[in-house]
Amino acid sequence: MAASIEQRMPPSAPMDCGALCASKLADYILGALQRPQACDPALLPERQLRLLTRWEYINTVRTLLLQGTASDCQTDLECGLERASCTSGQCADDPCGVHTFVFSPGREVRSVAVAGSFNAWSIDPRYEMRPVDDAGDERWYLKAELGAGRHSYKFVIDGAQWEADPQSLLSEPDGFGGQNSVVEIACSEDALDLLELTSGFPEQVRPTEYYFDNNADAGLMTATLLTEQLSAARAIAAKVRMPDCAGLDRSACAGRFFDDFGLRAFRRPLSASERALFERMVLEAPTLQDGLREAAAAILISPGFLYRSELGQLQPDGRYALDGYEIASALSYFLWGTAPDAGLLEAAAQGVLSTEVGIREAATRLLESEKSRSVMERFAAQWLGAERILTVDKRTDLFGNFDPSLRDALLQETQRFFAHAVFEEDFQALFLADYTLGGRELAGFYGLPAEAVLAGQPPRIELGPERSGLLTQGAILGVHAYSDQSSPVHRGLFVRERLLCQPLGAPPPGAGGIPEVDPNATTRERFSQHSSDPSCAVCHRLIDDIGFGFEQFDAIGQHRDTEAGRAIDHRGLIRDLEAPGTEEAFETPRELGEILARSPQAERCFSTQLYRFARGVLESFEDECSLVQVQQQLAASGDIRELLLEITQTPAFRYRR
Amino acid sequence: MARFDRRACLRLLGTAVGASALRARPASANTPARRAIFFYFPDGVAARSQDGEPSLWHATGTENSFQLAPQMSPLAPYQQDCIFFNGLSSGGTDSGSHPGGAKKLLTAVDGGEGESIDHLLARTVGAAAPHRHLYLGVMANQNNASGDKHISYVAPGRSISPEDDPVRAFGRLFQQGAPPQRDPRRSMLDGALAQLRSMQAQLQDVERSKLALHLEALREVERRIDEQPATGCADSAPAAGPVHEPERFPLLMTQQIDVMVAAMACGLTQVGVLQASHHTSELIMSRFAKTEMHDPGFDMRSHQASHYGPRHDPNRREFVDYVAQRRWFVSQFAYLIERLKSLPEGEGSMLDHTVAILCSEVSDGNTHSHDNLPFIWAGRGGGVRTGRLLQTSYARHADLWVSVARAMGSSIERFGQASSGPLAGL
Repeated sequence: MAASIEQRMPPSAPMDCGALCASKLADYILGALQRPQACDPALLPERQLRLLTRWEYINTVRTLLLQGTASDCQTDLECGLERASCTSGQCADDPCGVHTFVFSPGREVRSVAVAGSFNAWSIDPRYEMRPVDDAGDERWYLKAELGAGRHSYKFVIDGAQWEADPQSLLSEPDGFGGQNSVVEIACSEDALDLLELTSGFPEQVRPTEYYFDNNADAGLMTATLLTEQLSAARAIAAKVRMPDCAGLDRSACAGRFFDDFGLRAFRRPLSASERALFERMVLEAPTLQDGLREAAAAILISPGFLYRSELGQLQPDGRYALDGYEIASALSYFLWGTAPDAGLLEAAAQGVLSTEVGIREAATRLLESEKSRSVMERFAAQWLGAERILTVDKRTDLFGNFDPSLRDALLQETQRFFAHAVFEEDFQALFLADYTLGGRELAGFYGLPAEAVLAGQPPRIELGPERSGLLTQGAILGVHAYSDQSSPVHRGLFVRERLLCQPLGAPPPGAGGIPEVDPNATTRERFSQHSSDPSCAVCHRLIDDIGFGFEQFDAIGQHRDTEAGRAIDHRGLIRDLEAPGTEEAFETPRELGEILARSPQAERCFSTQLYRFARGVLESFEDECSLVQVQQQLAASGDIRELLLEITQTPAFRYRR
Repeated sequence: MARFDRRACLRLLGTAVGASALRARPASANTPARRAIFFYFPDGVAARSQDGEPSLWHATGTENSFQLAPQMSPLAPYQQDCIFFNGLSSGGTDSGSHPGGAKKLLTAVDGGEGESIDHLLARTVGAAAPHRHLYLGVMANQNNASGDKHISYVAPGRSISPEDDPVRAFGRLFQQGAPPQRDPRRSMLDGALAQLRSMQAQLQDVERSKLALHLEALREVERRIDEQPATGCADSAPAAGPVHEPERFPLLMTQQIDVMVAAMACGLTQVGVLQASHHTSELIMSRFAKTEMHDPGFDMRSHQASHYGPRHDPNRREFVDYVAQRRWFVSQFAYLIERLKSLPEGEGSMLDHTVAILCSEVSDGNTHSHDNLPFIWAGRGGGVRTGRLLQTSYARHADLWVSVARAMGSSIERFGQASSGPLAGL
C-alpha cells in the first residue's frame, strides 16, 4: 500500500508524498480499517505523571494554606478556627482584619463577651463569644472584624468579671492597676496574591485539537517554570501555618508537620526516604522555624507536589491500579480543580476508594460542592473558546461599547450558563434554553429592557425569539468572528470542530483570503466564491453554510436585521452531520439548536470533550471502552452530572498498563 | 563556560560602569562565545505564485554578485553580512499547510517528531551558559495560540511556549538578586533532585522524557544559583505595557530583540529563538503606526494578506500589503543584525561570532509550498564567509541546521530525518 501511495498520491501531484510520508499514511489507513468495532478491555492507557497546571497549582496552594484540612465543613472548628471560617458549608480563609478571640474560662460560665478599644469598652451583644461546642472543648470564641491596627481588649465573664487574655502575647496597663491584652493586626503583607505570584509561569501548551490547558503530554518542566516555582515556593512557605510543637523536640515537631502539611501537599503520606530528607533540613537549620519553612519550601518544589501521579500499583492480573490516594487526587482535580480535602484523604487511607461504589459516592459528594461549578465554568470557557473574549481584538471605532466590563459580563454569562446546565438542566438545554444568566448590562447588550431581567442569584434573562442557548451568546459569536466583521467560516468551524468533533484540517494550497468588506455586498455574497469554486467548495460546503445561519449577528454578537441595506438572509444548512450525503436546513439559531440537541454526533462529541478534559489526553484506542461507556451514559440520561459521575466509573479512570 | 564580554557590555550600557558591576563572569575576550539566533516570522513570503510568476523574495545572480528582491530591501546595507539561499526545502510531507511547515521548521522531522535544532544546541554546545535556551515571542501566545504554532521542541512532539513579555524576560535574566551566604534554594533543589532520581530509578521507561527534562531544568537552575548573578551588565529594563495589542507589536519586537542581544552580550545565553506571532497569524499589521501598511480604518492581518490570490497583482490590496508586511519583518531582522554589529567583540563585532537565521514555515504564503523556503543567514559565526547567494536546488533545510551547529562548534554530522551533512558550498 505504501508503494502505491508513494507512486500515485496525491492525484494532483504524484510522488509528492515521499517514502516516509507514504508509509505513515498506509499505517494510518490500515490502522483505521482495523480499528475494533467493539472495544477491547485488554487495552488500557499508559501510566503517567501530570504536571499541575498553573490553575491547579494556585488552587492547590489555596487548599494547602487553609489551616483546617476539611474544606467542606459545618463548623468553624473544622476549618481550624483561628484563621478560616465555615461559610455556607465551605472553609474560607478569614480576610485580613478579622481576628479570632479564643478564651478558656477554666470553670462553668454563662456568658463571655469581648470589650475593648474597638467598641468603646462596652458590653455589646455584637461582641458576645460563643462556645466552641465540641465534646470536651470548653473554649469560647468570637470572630470580629477589627481592621488593621493596634487593639486593646478584655474578656467580660457573666457580664461582670473583667479578665485579661492569658494567651495574649502583648499587654499594656489598664490604668486601674491591671493589664489590658493587646492584638496588633497588620494587613499589607499578609495576603498572598497567588495570581500575581504565578503570573510568570509559561503559557500552557495545548496540542492541536485539544482545547484545554491541562494536557498531560504538554505539561513539561522547563528551567523557566522551575525558576518561577522556586520563588513562588519560598513566598508560599512563608505563609504556611507552623505546627503547635509545645513540648516536642525538633524531630518530633518535624514529624508532626509532615503528617499534616506533607500529607496534604503530596496528596499521600510521605515515604520514609522523603521524611528523612525533609527532616534533615529541619534539623540542620539555625532555628526550628527556619527549618520548617525550608522544609515547606522544599516540599513545594518537589516532584511529589508538582506532579499528579497516575502510576498505580501492579496487580496480579498485570494491570496497574491507581491506589486510594491517586484516586482521591484524580477525583479531586477532575471535579474540584484542586488537591483532595481531608474527607478524600481519609477515604483513601481507609481503602474506601478501591471500589466503583466507593468512588461513585466520593464523586457524588464532590459534585455537591460549589467548587465543581468553577471547574465546569473553566471547561466551558476553554471548550467553546469563550475565554478569548477578554482579549480578542474588536475595532474600537466600530464597536465602542465593547469595553472590558462587557467582555467580562459575556464570559461570565457563558460560564455560568454552562454550569447551570450541568447541575440544574441537561444536555439539550445547552442549545435550547430560552433564557440566559446575567444582569442588566447583558440584557442591554442583547437589546432587551431591564424588565427582562428576573431576580435571582445570578439573575436570569428571558431571551427574545432570535436567541437560543449557547449558540447565540455574545462570547461565542464575538470570539468566532473578525475584528471588524462576522465570519461564517469561523462560526461554521466552531460548530464543526468544537461541537461536532469533525475537524477539517488546514486550508489547502492556494486557498483564497478573506473577502474584503464591501459596503454594497452582504457577507454571504462576499463569501460566495467558497461555494462557486469547486476546489474551495469541497470543504467550505461543510463550513460556511452553517456559519451563514448566524448572519443576523455582527462581529460582537449584536443582533442586526440588515446588512448593506438589505434584509439578512440567514438560512443555513448543515451537511454530512450523522452520515455523508445527509443535509438539514435551518433558518434560525433555535432551529440549529434543535438539530444539535437531538444529534447523536453532537452528543458523542460533547461526551468526548469532557472525557478529554478529565483524562488530560486526546483519546486513543486505549480509551475506546471507557469513552463508549461515557457516551452511552449521556445518550441514555441526557444528564451532564451523570456523565461526570460515569467518567469516574470507567476502566481508564482507575487502571493503567 | 559562557563568557562575559566586558567591552560589549560597556557598549551596551552606553555609560561607564564601575568594575564592581561587571563581576558576572571572568572576561575572556580572546575567544568570544559562539551564538545562534533563530528569528521566525509567520506566513511565508510572496514567492513563486500559483500561476507561476517568479518569486519576489529570492535573490537573483551569481554567488558573489547578486540582486536582492523587493521584500528584502531592508537588508541592502547588510548584504555583505548575509548569506542568501535559493532552493532549500523542508520536504514534501504536509506540503501545503502552515502547521506542517511549522512542525518541520526547527525539528527537520515530519510532524515535529524530533527535538528542534535550538534545543539540541542548547543542551550541547550552549549547555554551559546560565540560560541554556532563551525563547522570546511577540504575541506568539496570542489567543491561546499553542501546540503546532510554537516552533521550539524540547522533545519529539513536545513544543514549549515562548515568553511574550520583555519585562518578565529581562527580569528573569538580569534581576536575580545576589545569593545570600547560605542560599536555601540550593537545598530545596537538592531535595527535588534526590526525589527525581529515585523516581527515575523506579519508573525506568515510564515518563522517561518528562523526567529527563525536569532533571535538566533542575541542573540548569541549580547552576545559575551557584554562579554569580549578572546584575549590572544591562540595567535598563524595557518599559512595561500590555503584550496583546497589535498597535504595540513593533515596540515589543524591538524590546525582545534588545533583550536577546543583551542576554547574549552578557554571556547569559548562547542559543535563542525569537518568534514573531505564529503561523496563520491574525496579527493586524495595518495597525502598525508610521509604516507603509498603516490603515486604522481597515484591518489587514498577516494570514489574510498571505492569501493574495493566484498571481502577483499590484492592484489587489492583499498583495500590496503582503509584500509590505514581509518587508517589515525583514526590517526587524535587519535591526537585529545592526544591534549585533554595533557591539564590539574580539577583533570585530558580536556579529562575527553569531549566526542569526531568518525563517518562516512556508515559502509562498498562498501556495504554502515547502520548497525554496525563505531562509537568510546573517553573521560570520566564527569564520563563515558571508555576502553570498547559494543555489542549493532542493537541498534539505536540515543540512542548513547541521551547518549552523558546526558554526556553533558542534560536530554533528546529521540532523533530523533527511539530512546529508553540512550544507554543500557553505
